[in-house]
Amino acid sequence: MRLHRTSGPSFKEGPRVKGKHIFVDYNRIGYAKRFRTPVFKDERDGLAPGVAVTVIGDDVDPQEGRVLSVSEDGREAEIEIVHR
Amino acid sequence: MGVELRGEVELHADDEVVIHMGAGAVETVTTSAILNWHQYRGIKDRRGAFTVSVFGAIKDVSERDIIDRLPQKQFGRASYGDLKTTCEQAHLDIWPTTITDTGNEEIEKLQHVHFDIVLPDDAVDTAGADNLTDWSDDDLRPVREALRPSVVDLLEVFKPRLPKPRGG
Repeated sequence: MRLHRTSGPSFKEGPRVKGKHIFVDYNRIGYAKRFRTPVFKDERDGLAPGVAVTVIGDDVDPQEGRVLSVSEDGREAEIEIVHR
Repeated sequence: MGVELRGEVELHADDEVVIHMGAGAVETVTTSAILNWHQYRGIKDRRGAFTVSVFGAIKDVSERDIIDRLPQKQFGRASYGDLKTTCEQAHLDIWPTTITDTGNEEIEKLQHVHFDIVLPDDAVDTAGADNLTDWSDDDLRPVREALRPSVVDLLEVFKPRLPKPRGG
């Protein structure tokens, strides 16, 4: 019997960026690799420096990012794009 | 990031106005308007404003400059005359606004031709709100629904949606 892989994670892909989606307004940040953005309440839970996020917005493919800092009140985060 | 109001709308009827809009434009434009609402506190004595960014291809800025400096894959264009007519019919306002402290030099270069289309908010209950990003998705659902018809009216004038030129 020959076994075929029909589904499952590809090792080439490495670990998928899980989790948190951060919505941004690209009219405000353009192509910036580091930027500050307001953060919606439902996006704030667990947001902390070093956390991987997926940056989403109008008409731009999702991008992998990392949180650099979060404001004290949690309303704003500084994000760095790590992979376009 | 902040917002400053310039003196007057520096557009004439034949001037071209550009908007960036993708397939999910109605939803994302609405979400952006909510995300940025609090940044307009104090402008025209408002507590906030629901706005949509557009750029004028005027002064030293060409349509290509506007398209190249933003990452969206599609855009739409309209004459200011047509946009103004739509705004009057749909009770939208146009503010000449400069977004400050974006942290992006290329975006800053567009700010003297940036305009906000202001969505009517009389059907939106923001009583007591300081910053709408503090509201949950569930709380924001009626806000989205109230804003949607205006966004649909606005985006219509910018059709057809055009692909960004290659190399842009």
